[in-house]
This record gives sequence, C-alpha cells and structure tokens, in this order.
Amino acid sequence: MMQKHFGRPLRILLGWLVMSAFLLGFLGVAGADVLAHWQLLPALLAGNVFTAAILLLLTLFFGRAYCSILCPLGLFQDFVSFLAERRKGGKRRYAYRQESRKLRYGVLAMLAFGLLGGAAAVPLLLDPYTIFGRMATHLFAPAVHSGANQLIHWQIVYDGPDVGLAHTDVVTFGMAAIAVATAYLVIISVVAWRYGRLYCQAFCPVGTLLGTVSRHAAFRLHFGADCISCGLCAKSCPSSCIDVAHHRVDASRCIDCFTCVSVCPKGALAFGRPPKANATAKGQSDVADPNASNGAPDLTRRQMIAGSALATLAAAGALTKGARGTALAAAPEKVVRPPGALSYASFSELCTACHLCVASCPQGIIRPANLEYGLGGIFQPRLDFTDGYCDPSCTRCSDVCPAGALTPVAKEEKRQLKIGTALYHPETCVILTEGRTCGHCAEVCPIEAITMEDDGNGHLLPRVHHRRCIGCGSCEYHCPAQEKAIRVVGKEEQSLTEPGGRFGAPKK
Amino acid sequence: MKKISRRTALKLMGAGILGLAGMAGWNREQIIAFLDRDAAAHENGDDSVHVKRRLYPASGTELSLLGFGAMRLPTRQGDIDEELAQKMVDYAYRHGVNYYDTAYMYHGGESEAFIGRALSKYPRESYFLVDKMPTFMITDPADVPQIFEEQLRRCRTTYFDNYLLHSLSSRADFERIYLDGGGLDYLRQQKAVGRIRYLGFSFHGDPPFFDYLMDNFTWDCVMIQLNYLDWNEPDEAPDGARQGGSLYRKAMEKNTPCFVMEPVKGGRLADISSSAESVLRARQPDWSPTSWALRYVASFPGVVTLLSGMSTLAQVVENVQTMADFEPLTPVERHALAMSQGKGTGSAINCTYCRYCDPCPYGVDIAGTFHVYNTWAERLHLGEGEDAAASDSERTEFLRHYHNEVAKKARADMCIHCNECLPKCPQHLPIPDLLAKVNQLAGASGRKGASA
Repeated sequence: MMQKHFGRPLRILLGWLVMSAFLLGFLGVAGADVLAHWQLLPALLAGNVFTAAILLLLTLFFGRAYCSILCPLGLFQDFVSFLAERRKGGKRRYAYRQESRKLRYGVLAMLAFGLLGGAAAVPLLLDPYTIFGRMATHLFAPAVHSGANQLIHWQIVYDGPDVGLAHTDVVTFGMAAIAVATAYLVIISVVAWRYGRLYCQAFCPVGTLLGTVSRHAAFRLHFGADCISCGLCAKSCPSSCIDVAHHRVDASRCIDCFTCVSVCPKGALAFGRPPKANATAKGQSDVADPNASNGAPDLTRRQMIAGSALATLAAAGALTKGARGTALAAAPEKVVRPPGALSYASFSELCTACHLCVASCPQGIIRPANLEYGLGGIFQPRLDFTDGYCDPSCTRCSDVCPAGALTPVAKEEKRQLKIGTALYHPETCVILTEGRTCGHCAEVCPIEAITMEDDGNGHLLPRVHHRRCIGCGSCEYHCPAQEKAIRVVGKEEQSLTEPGGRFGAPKK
Repeated sequence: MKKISRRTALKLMGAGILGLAGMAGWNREQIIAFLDRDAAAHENGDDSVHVKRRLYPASGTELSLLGFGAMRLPTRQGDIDEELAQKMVDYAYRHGVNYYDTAYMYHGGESEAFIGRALSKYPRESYFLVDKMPTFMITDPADVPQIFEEQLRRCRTTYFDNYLLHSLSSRADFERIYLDGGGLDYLRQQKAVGRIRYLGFSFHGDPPFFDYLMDNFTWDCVMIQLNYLDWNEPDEAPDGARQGGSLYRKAMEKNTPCFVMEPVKGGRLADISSSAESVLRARQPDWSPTSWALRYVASFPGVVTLLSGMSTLAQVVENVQTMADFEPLTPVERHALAMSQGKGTGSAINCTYCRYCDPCPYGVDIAGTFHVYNTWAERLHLGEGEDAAASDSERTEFLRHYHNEVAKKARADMCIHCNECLPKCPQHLPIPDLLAKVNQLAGASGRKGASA
C-alpha cells in the first residue's frame, strides 16, 4: 500500500536527476559524467568488479530498478512513452506478452560468445548506454551547442546582455555516425511510443542479464488478495509483464516502475517479499499459482540453468576481456587513438563507442571512426587534428571513459605520453612550395620536439625529434599548408617518452 | 587583490571613507575636536595607524614614507593658525611621521618659527628637521651664512638633519652663489662641524643641469619632483616637467637617495577626470586618486620620503592612512594607472579595424583579434607584462570573449609571420608581433604559453 504513494514519484524524480546528469555530461560538463561509470556493461568491460557486484546485488534484492533509474536509454524510452500517453489522452494501452525468451537469450548468447571470441559488435550495437551516448553526442549536444552559439552571436551583433555563455566549437562528425544515431533515435522512439519498454525486454543484453538475476529477486511485485482482475495494471505496464489471468508478475522483465501499483484501484499489488506458495494456497487457491515464487512457472529447470549459465558467461567474458587481450587484428597504421588507449588490442575490444570521450574533448578532436579501424572498429574514437590538437595538459577523455578502453592517464605524465609521432612531408611544405619563411610547427610545438635546421640549400626546414615527439598534433593543426606538410601517425602501443628524452634539449 | 587587513578595513570604515568625505566640510571646532579625540585614543593605547618607514642609508635610521611639509599650514586671518597647526603636527607625529620639512620663505618666514616651536616638545633626535637655503632670494652670496644662522635660530635647533640648496634651476645661479660665491664651501663647513648632517639640493631645472650636479659633486640626498604624470620612460625624451624618470634614474645611478616633492602634482592628481577615476576605482574601489598618486611614488625603491604640503586635516588624515597601509603597487595596479591616463598602455593596439590587411593568406582574423584584445584585455587589466599577474578568472573571462568573437581557425595562433600584412597596414602596425602578443595572452599554444 505504501508504495502507491511514493514508489512511482520517487522513481520519476530520480530518473529526472539521473537524466539531467547524463545530458550535462554529454554537454561536456566536468563531473556530470560520473554516472557513466555506473553502467553495467561498461563497468564489466572496465573490470570494475566492485561496481558490477553492487549493481547485481541490488538487482538480486530489488529487481531491475537499474533499468528504470540508472539506464539513460530506459529513461529516454519512459519519456517517449509518457509523451505518447499524454498524446493519447492517458489511455492505458499495453497488454501482457509472453516473454520472448529465444530472442532475449539469443542476443545474450551473441554477447557472451562475441565477448569470448573477441568481437565487440554486440556492445557496440546494442548496449543501451552506448546507444544513448551516441544519440546524445551526435544529436542532442550539437543542437544545444549550436543554440548557445547562436545566442552568443546575437548577443554580440545586437549588443545584448552578456549572460556568460561560452562558445563551443560544434564539429560535424562523419555523416555515418549522425545517420546511425538518428536511425537509433527513430527506431527506439517509435518502438517506445507504441510498445513501451519492448527494446528492454526483447533486445537489450543488459536487460536480459539483469532479468536473469531479477527472476530470483528477494523483493518484487506480487499480487495480493484484493485483486478484482480489472486488468488496469497490465494495460499500464510498459514492460508488458503482468499476467492478470494468472496473477503473475514476470520478475525477469519487471523494472520496478511502480506504474501498476499507482493505478491499481484496490491496492492489490505490493512490492516486497512474495508470500510462500503454500501460505497463499491456503486462503486464495484460485489466485495463487503453486510456482508463483518462481516468477516464471513455465520455465523449466533446464532453461533456468541454461539462462543463468549464459548470463554468467557473458559477465565473465566482459570482465576478463581486457585481461585476455585476444587481438582481432593488428593496429591499423596511421590512425591515432585517444591518449590512454595504450594498446590497440585492448582498446578495440573494450570500447563500446559510447562517444562520451567525443562529447567531452575540449578541443573537439576526438571523432568516431568510419572504416579507419576496419569494420569491427566502426564508430570507435580516433583523433583528427583538423580542428585542434591534443592539449598536453588535458586528460579529459581518459578520465571519463567508463569502459576502460582509455586507461587513466596521470596529468603529469600526459606531456610524455606518446600517442603518435609527427612526420614531415617536404613536398607540400610552404617553405619549399611557396618559398616562404615558416617554422610555425616548431614554434607551436608544446614540447619543443621540432627544430629548424638548414638543409644545405639555404632553407631552414623542420626536423622532428621522434624521441621527444608525443604526437599531440599541434604542428599538424597549425601547419599553414593546404595539404598538411607535417602529419601525425599513430602507434601500435602508446608509451611514455623518456623524461627530457635521451635526445635532451633541442638544439637552438 | 586588496591587501587590506580586517583591522584596517574597520578603521577605514570608522574614521575613513565617510569621515574623510565629511571632514572637508568641518569647521575649525569640529576639526580640533577630532584631533583631540584622536590624541585621547592614542593616550588610551590605540596605536594602530602608523606610517610605514624606509631606511635612509645616510643616517642608518628609518624615515617615514610620508613627510610633513610646512608650506601650506592652516591659517587664520592670514597668519598660521597656531593651535590647529600644532595639533596637526601632533597628529602626524603621533602616527609615525618623523620628517618635517620647512623653508626660509614659507609663510613669509613664519613656517620655520612655527615648526621650531611645534616640535620643541619632542626629543630632537626623534625626528628629522629639514630646511633649505633660499637660492632665488640671494642677491649677494655673502648673505648665505647670515641666513643659515637665522634659520637655526628660528627653528630653535642647533642642527638640521637634511639641508638643501633650495630649488636649483639654473647653472648660472648655482655657480654664482654656491661656487664662485662660496656658498657651497660654507655649507660644507657647517656639515663638517655638525650643524648640517646631510647636504643636498632640491631641483627645478632640466636634466642636463641635474646630470652636471650629480656628476661633479657629491650629495647626500636630492629632492626631485616626481609623480605619475611627470614620469618619463628611458626611451622618452624629457619634455617640460615630464622628466621625473630621467632625474630618478640619474640619482639611482649615483646611488643617491631621493626625497620627492609634488607627488600629487600640486593637487592635480587629486582631482582627475571621472573616467580616469572610474578606471582606478574598478581596480581598487577604496583608493582615492590622491592615494594612487602617493602609492605610485612610494613604490620607487629609491624614494625615502615623499612630501606633501598638507593644508587641510582631511589631507593629513588620508595621507597618513595611505602610507600606513602602503604596499608597492602591483603590476596590474600600475597598468590600471597607465590606463587611467589614456595611455591605454603600451598594450592597446592602434588598430582602426579598417581591414586593409584582409585577407590574411592563413585565415587570421587580424582586425577581429585586435578588437577583442583592445576591448577585453584592457577592461580586464591584462596586457603586456601584466598577464602573469592577472588572476585566473580574469584570463578565463578574456578567453571566453576571445573564443566567442573569433573563430577557432582565425585566431592569432594561426599566424606564421609571413609578413604579407605589413605593407598593407596604414597604421604601420607590426601585425605579426602584435598577434604573437595576443596569442601569448591567450596561452593558446606553443612553448610561450602552455595551454591552461
């Protein structure tokens, strides 16, 4: 009875807070990205046993509250459903569906064997946080930033009041990433508009993983004695998991949204320890199912064990993925990975392409790859020095990465972290092609790894000292040549340059 | 920014800002009442306001940064208002002023007599008494000894601490009176017998004459006119009164301590334009223009004491407070002072935004960059040399405007010094160097300014 009064409002309030934090995080607000570290699949990939254990224990006790409070894609779907409901005049429009067990466990099996085998396709395509991250990075953030930039523009042109807004460069990423994010947005929205949380109950590997645990949740929704079988709860359930005919709530799909509790006219639905089967059988033999506490009476013992095994396999596969380092392919040459992506192998396997690093980079130089990494690495981040360079004092991307694909980089080590090296291409250099006096690359190098040296023909040409060069791209970004005459190529393994370099101070 | 202790702040609130504003309108009784209250408070142990002191190397003692000039004492019906002037001297003495400066002709000769009487109640060694030989009144150099004797008599003393040749302005007079006439020899004799402790001169001539005096004679001290309007930089030729820099630098070259007159330029710097004052108030809301002028002069390490003729109580109280709180001006404050004079600095860029330099082959928005710099760097008190002293928030604010107004790839860091803009600029601005200056302030990239 008590839940009726606070369960749903509390869930909605928490949901708004969490969503706000996520949106701010993807707008680049430092600190707001903390919840990304509490996403199950990235936490497993990052090997954060503690975080994953807390999330799983929480589920074991209270069911899938994670899905209705912590999952940003879930919150997004709830919001779409809410709009749909408003639009339809508050009509309850869902109905009980059988659990699509084959589909759910099929996806989970793909995840588990994919992770064990080394393919990151399932997290890349179906991890809910990742899907949300890409929508936020490519659709939400650019829209907000462009709006703010427009306001700034008007403020300057019309000399309006300065409200302290700061310009953010909106870089247009590859159309592929925008198109895919848009496609996901449309599909997820349409599905949520019509079927509520169908995605979470049929496709979402995290939902299935948690659902396998929540089948055995200690506290759960269950029917009490006062039910009049009016069916309102089933019609209001976005997870379509309430079977009024049998007075069962499927605990593997219930996400603790408490909508049913709030609509039940009799207060017949309660959240708590379900009554023992024999105890209920005494009074309400017509109501209680002998297997009610099982949550899914049609689940055979074999199915249950198989499901649990699959879930365990997936979790274990994710947890150990970083350590196993089963490299799919050698590092693609020349692609520069964000700092902290120490080896190509672990980076490519752990990164789910959530694009939080893309959204967070203050210089706007982290871009989703198209096919630079090959098909398996599509959308994974790479550095592009067209619009900036990697600030040697900044460790933002490795700070925010929730999946352990970018390992933390110490601030004081960043100046020595070699993510690539600059190569000089004299054929396009303005010193030779236009006869100009230049040396801008040497001038802007933050670590003095470039010196200007006489080529014997009266030209002072840049020379990159590769032991010092960390591949930050300042030279490439600032190079005045149409086709950059100095370009950074990536390294298979990122490493620290020796302090000061064996080379020592550059010659003047 | 402000280096004002809580105690000082309370003091300022109590007797300061409001009091000073009101004081100007006080009648004689109110002023005397104030001074009596202050004396009583001092009796009761309130010894908080104390003018800072600085070492006078010649004597090895410390002299108050602020000296008491007895040139413009309060008067009543044409004569020195003995009672009030005495209380003002007492006020200054109480608050640590130990340098009293008079001259033969101040108040028609009455100043010397007054200061002698006023100070006679204090131990002679507890203060510096300074008098001057009235160069411009001397027709016959033979009068020098007689005048000197008369001064000692009037001042009721047996010796002067500093004794100055008053207002040297022409080499001809100097040679006639002090060299050929023997005046200097006589005064040197007086120094030898201890009736003058330190011999110097006060100066109103031109730099060549000053150089002549400094190069050919040895002086214990000099008194020069110095204030922020009269200062000239090493690369600025002296121009009229604007020669303070030349004189100061010469004195420093000769290791001669300076005493400064006209730190407020005869009051001109107390009453500056409202726009100039607003620039200063923006930096230090509680500092009056006079206080800025005094702080500017006192910030020169070679200046021992600055003299300000203080005719009203409000001036005395304010100047005492200024010099009690004194800390040398910070680079940012010096910059604000320069800006208040419309010297918007060496740092304002004289760009008229005509855009004749467009297009830059490398896409730099030259005029736009300079516009942001002139608009915001100035307003935020950043600029040449001062960026190190600028606070993080000021720099962040500058960067915000810079980034808002100039597109990323059109900023100063894209300039490669190709110099194509140079011949196009009607103002003959060294555009690439100026862009480098902006870039340095922005700390955008490169070794010159690591990214923030």
